[in-house]
Amino acid sequence: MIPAAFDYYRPKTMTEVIAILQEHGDDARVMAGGHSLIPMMKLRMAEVPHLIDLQDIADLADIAIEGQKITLGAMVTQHALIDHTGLSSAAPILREASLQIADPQVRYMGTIGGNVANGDPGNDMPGVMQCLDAQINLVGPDGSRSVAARDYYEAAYMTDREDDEVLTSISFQAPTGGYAYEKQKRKIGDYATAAAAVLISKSDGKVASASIAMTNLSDVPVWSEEAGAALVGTACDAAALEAAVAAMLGDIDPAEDNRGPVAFKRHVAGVILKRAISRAWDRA
Amino acid sequence: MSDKMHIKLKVNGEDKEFLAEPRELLIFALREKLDITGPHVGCETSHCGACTVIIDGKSVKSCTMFVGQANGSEITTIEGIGEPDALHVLQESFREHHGLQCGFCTPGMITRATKLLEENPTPTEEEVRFGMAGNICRCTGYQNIVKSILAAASELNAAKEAAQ
Amino acid sequence: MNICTGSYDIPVAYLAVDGVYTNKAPGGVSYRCSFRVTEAVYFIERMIEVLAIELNMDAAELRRINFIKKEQFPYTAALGWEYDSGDYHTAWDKALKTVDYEGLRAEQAERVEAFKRGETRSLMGIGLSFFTEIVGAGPVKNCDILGMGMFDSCEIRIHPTGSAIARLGTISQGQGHATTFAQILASEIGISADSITIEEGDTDTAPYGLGTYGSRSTPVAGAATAMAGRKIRAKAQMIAAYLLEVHDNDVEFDIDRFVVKGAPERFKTMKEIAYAAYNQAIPGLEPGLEAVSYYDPPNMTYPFGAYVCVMDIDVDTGVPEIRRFYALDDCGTRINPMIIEGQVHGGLTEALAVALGQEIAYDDMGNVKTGTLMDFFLPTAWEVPNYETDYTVTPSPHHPIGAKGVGESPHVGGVPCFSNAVQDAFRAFGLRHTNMPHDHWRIWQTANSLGLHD
Repeated sequence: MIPAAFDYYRPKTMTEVIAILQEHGDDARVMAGGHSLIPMMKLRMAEVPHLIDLQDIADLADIAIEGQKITLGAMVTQHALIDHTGLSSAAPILREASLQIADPQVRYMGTIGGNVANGDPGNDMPGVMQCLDAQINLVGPDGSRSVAARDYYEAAYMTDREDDEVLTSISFQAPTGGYAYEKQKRKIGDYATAAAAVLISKSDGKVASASIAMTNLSDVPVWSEEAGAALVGTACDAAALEAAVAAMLGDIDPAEDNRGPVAFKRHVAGVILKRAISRAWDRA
Repeated sequence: MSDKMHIKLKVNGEDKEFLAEPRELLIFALREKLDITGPHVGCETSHCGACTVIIDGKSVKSCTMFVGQANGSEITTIEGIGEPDALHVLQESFREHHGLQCGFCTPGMITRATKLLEENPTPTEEEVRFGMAGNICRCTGYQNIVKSILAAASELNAAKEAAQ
Repeated sequence: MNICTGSYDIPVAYLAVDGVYTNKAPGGVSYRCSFRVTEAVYFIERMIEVLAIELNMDAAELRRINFIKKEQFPYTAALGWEYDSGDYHTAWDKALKTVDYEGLRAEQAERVEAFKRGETRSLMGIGLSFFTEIVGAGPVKNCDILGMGMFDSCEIRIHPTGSAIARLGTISQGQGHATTFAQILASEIGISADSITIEEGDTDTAPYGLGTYGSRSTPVAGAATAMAGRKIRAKAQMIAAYLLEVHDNDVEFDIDRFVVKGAPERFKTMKEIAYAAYNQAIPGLEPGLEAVSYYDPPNMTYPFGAYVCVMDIDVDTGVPEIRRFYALDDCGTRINPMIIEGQVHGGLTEALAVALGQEIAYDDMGNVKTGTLMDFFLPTAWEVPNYETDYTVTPSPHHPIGAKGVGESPHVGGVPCFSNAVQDAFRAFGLRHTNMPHDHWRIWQTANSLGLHD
C-alpha cells in the first residue's frame, strides 16, 4: 500500500503553514500524528499532493494548566494525555477516554488535534470535548478564532474549519465533580459500538450540573443537552437515568454497520450511558 | 513524482543517510534501503504491530510513518536490542518460555515489550496484556508471550536490585 | 464430516452433506482443521447439547453415558473410521473434577435465580466439549493427494564425531520440529538433542515427504524419525557387540550406550560406536552409520480432549467475558510438554476468534465488509484469557512411540466449547441453538429474542 506521491513540508512556524495552505488550497493538508491520514493515503482514499507535517512547530505539544483553564496543543498525543500527572488530576476524563483509544503504539503517535479536527464520527475525543464544552482554537490567514466543540461538527468529516485553517489547540475549564467515559467496542483498536462521556457536579446530594455526549452514534458526536438537563436536580435515581437515556435516544441517529443493527446500537447506547452516569455520580 | 529527500537517521546507534521519496513508509526504508529486516511488514494498516520500532523513545508502528516524518530521529529496531551471541533479557526470556512459534510477530513483540518495561518495570499480567495489545500473534495465544515478559521484568528488576 | 459421530458409541449413522461451491465463503479460515474435523465436532457437540435440552438432562452426564468405552478400542465408528485408542471417561472425569463442575452448575443456577429476581444482568455459561480428532494422514492404502501416497520420511546421518543430522520431509512453521524431532531421536539413539541438527524444507537434500499440515508431522514424520533411529540403533548394536567381543544379543541399549548384559562396567557409548563405524574395519558390516525410513502409517491417530469454558455474559450489551478455560488434551505420548501447551494456547485463541466474532461478511453486491483487522476479528492479548492446560496419556498403539498429533486439537475442541458456553448461558431461558459467530450484537439479539430485555 503505497500512497500517491506528494511534496513533504516540515515548516517551523504557523505562518509558513498558513502560507503553504493558501498557496495550494485543497491540495494541501496538515498532518499531526498521521494515524488517521496516513492509512487513508495508503488506501488512496485521500490524495494529498502537499503534505505539511506539524511536528516542528513550537509549542504545539504543550499541555498548559493555568488555574482552571486547560489548553492542549494540537500535537499532544494520547500517550501524553495518559502520562501527564497534572492533567490526570485536573481533567481525569481525558485519561480515562485516552486509554480506550486504539492501542499503545497508536497512542504514542495519535494526537488530540488529529482526533478532534477531522470529524471522523468514530473518534472518541470529539464527544469528550463537547462534554467538556471545549473551545477549538483555529489559526488561519485572517488570524485566530475559537469555535465551541459543540458547534464544530457539521457532518461526517465536515467541520467548521476552513481548508486554510489549522487547529492549533483546544481549551476548556477544568471540570469539577464526577466523570466517566464508558465505551463498548469489539476489541482493542476498534471504534465504539457506543460510547458516552459524562460529567456531573453534585450539590446537597443532588445533581447540580450534568453534561452528556455520545460517540459514534450519529455522523457527528452528539452532545445531548436534554439528557444532561434530565439529571439536574435529581439524585441520579432510576427514573432520572431513564429520563436521561430517553432524551439521549432522541438525539442520536446510529447507522447499521458490522458492529450491529440500529436497534442494538440504540439499546447499547442506553446501557452505556446509564453506566457512565452511575460511575460519574459515584465519583461526584 | 516528487523529489527525493535527503534522509538522515540514527538507527541502532549508527548514522544512516539516504535518498527517499517522502511517500516512502519508514518500514520499507528500513527494510529495503537499510537492509534492516527485523521489523516485519504484517497488515500494513497499523493493527498488527509486526513493524514496531522505537523512535525517539516512542513505540511506533513503522508502517504508519512516512520516512520524511522520521527524518532526524533516532530509531531502535530489534537488531539494536540484542545480538545473536548476546541476547537481551527479553529475547532470552522468549526463548526460555516458548514465547514465539513462527516468529513473525516476535521482533515487534520484543521491541514493544522493551518499551513497555521501560514505561512500567513492574507490570501485572493485566498491564502486560493491555500494554501489548497493539501486537497481534496468531500462533501462541499470547500466554507464553505474557509469561516471557513477566519473567523478563522480574529478572531485570532482580539485576537492578543486585546492582544497588 | 464422516468423523461426525465424534466420541460417542453411535451404532448406526447416516450422513448427507451438501457441498456448495462459492467464492463467498462465510468465514473461518481453512487452516488448523477448520476445514474438516472442526465442523464435524462442532456439529456433534452442538447436537449433544440440543439432545440434552430435549431430554432435560445434564449435558456432561449425557456425554458420559454415550462415550465409547476404553475396552471398545480399537473402535470402528458407524461411518467407517477405526479409532486406534481412547480413554474418554478418565479424561472427562478429570476435567469435570478439576473445574468443580457440580459447583459451577450450582453457581449457574443461583445466577439464574438472581437474574430472575432482577439482582443481576449477567448470566453464566458453562461450555463443554469433548472431541475426537483424526490426524496423521495417512495410510497410503486409503489416503492420497492426487494419487500421491501420504507417507513421510526421515533420513539420519550420524557423524564420526557422534553428532547427527536428520532430514525430514516435513517443514516447521513454528511447531518446534527442531526440538520435538531431536528429542524423539535422542531417546532412540542416545545422542543428546543438542548434538542433533534437524534440517527440513530443502528439497535438494530432504527425503521425499508430504509436508506439514493436518497435525501429521509427529504422527507420520515423527514415526519415520523413530523408525530410522531404530535402524541406526540396530547397526550400532552390532558394532558395539563386535567392539566388546560379545554376541549381538549379549548387549543392551541403555540411554546413550550399549552395555554387556550382566556386566554394566563393560560398555561402548554411542559416541565411541559412531567413531568406530567410520574408522574401524568391522567384518560383515559396511562402514558408516546412516539410515532412512519412509513411514507409511498403518492408521490415523485419534487424539482427544475434554474442554470446559466458564463465561459471564452481559445480557444488556451482549459482551461475553471468559472467566476460565480448562483444556485437557490427550495426544498420546507427550514428547515436549511446553511445545504441546504452546500449540494448545494458539489453537484455542483461533477457536475463540472463530466462535466469538470472526466472519467474512458480504454486502448485497458481494463486496467484503470485513476487510480490515478492525472488522475481521483477530483477538489481541487483551481479549484472550489465560488457559489452564492439562492432560491424560493414552498412547497410540500403532505409532512407534505412541504419539498422536496435537496442533489442530485445540481448534477442533475449542470452537464448540466457546460456542456452547454462550448458548448454555441462555439454556434456562429456552434457547435451543443459535449460529456463530457470537459477536456482541448476535448475543444481544439472542437475549432480546428470548425476552430478556423486556
